[in-house]
Amino acid sequence: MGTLGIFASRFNVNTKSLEAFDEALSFLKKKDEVARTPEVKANVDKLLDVLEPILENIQGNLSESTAVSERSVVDIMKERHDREWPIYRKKLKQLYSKLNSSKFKLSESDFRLLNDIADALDVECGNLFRRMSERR
Amino acid sequence: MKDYLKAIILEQINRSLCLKNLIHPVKYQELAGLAERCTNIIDSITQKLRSLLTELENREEDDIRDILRKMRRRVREIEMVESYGISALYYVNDEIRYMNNLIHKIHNEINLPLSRPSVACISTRYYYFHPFTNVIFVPVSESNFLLHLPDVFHEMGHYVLFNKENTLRLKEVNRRYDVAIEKVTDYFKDLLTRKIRETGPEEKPRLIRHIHSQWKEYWINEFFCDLFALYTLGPAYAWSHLHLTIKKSEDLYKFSEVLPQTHPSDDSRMRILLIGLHKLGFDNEANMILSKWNSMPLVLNTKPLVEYQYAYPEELMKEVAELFLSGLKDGNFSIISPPNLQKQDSDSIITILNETWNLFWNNPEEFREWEEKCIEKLKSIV
Repeated sequence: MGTLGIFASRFNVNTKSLEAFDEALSFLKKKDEVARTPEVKANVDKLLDVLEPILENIQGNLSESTAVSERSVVDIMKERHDREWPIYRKKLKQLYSKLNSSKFKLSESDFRLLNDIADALDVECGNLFRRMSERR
Repeated sequence: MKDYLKAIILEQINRSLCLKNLIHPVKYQELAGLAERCTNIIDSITQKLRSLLTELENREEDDIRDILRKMRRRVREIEMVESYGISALYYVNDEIRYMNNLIHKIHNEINLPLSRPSVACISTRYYYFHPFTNVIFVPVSESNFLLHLPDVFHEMGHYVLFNKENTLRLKEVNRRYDVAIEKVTDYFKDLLTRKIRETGPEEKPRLIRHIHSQWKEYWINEFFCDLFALYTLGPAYAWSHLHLTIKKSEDLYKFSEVLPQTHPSDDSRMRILLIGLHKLGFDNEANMILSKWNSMPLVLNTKPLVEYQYAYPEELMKEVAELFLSGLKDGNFSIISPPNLQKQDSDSIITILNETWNLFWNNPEEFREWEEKCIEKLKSIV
């Protein structure tokens, strides 16, 4: 397979994860305090599918997940939040713990953070799309 | 910004409708499936864009980050259906009929549990499969040759990978694939732990993380598709890999400690193919291929980087080759073996492609004459 197909394949995987992430984000935006009903859990899982490999990478661990190109997504986030990276990293960890708790309320800044992650993933999708279209 | 976004969405709806207009009339019946797929994709995009307009109406100016992302996704999809779907319907000649029927026959011979992919002879980048439209792209003159047709089987492997999660008969392929990822991760986790404990250079852990990411994102898929082609077609695929390598490879042991590398090295791909051949019982063929491989100047005069030793561990490759073979067997694919190859019809594409390689080696001077006659015959069969 040429490189086009390879990038198309990665593009597709990352795009599907982003689509699911955005769906979950829209769903949770409408909620005030969130209890862990099956519907909520399904949506939180969609967020965690993206967030987990990102956090593993930040902590220097190897992740089994193939849902996102976490190394590239983390690089994009680092670049965008270079000056505040240690604090930003901590915020990501806190958000992860919150999403794993039995009852939680997402704040404005949590949603901003989730949108940042989605934006970084969108940039990675754009990168893969560009590489797919490049003549090499 | 809301007004501007609205204008872009409307612009994209118009572009979609314009593309839909280009689908009909379908020039060849063999492409009816692709025409239907493109129509469905465009209808879905248009519908999503219309819903986005409604969603946008109810949003505040400072609450549109997700709408922007959604709009960008639709823009990419429109570009993909145009480049990898509509173009395949638009630029066609009579050869498309033969190639699509050929794929149909292969599809039946290997017992592929998916709808038939389409073929377009307009590639300027060798063979590739596009998962969005299910089209295998091949170079424009490929219908006149046989030696590299085994690559079609590799592309079908990508088609299988793409659908492994949503097709019941691919359940075991999917499960074995996940186990393979787990094995790869466990192997490199273990190596990473050991290297962190050792007081060696700091670069080593970074290198191991990099190799793991290459395996997980790219190499495992390429190995799967190589093995898929080998297990369903047989030695012809390994011969065609050797043929492509001698003609095109820049470096058999291509490896970078930092840069992403979409394909595993040609050396590792041949190694996993040899493992696969032995598993299928093609020991003689494996020895013949290895002997030809080892006599290539590319092999004799090149040595890999020291770090290359970490990239393709033999034991891991053996495990992966075994997992994929069991997955395909359980998925009821037609797996080739020496007795099975003997039993195939003389008209089977699998027999013809393996025979092609025998004839190429036995009588290279008269090969072209035989090849032309064979393609003529194939055109009448399919």
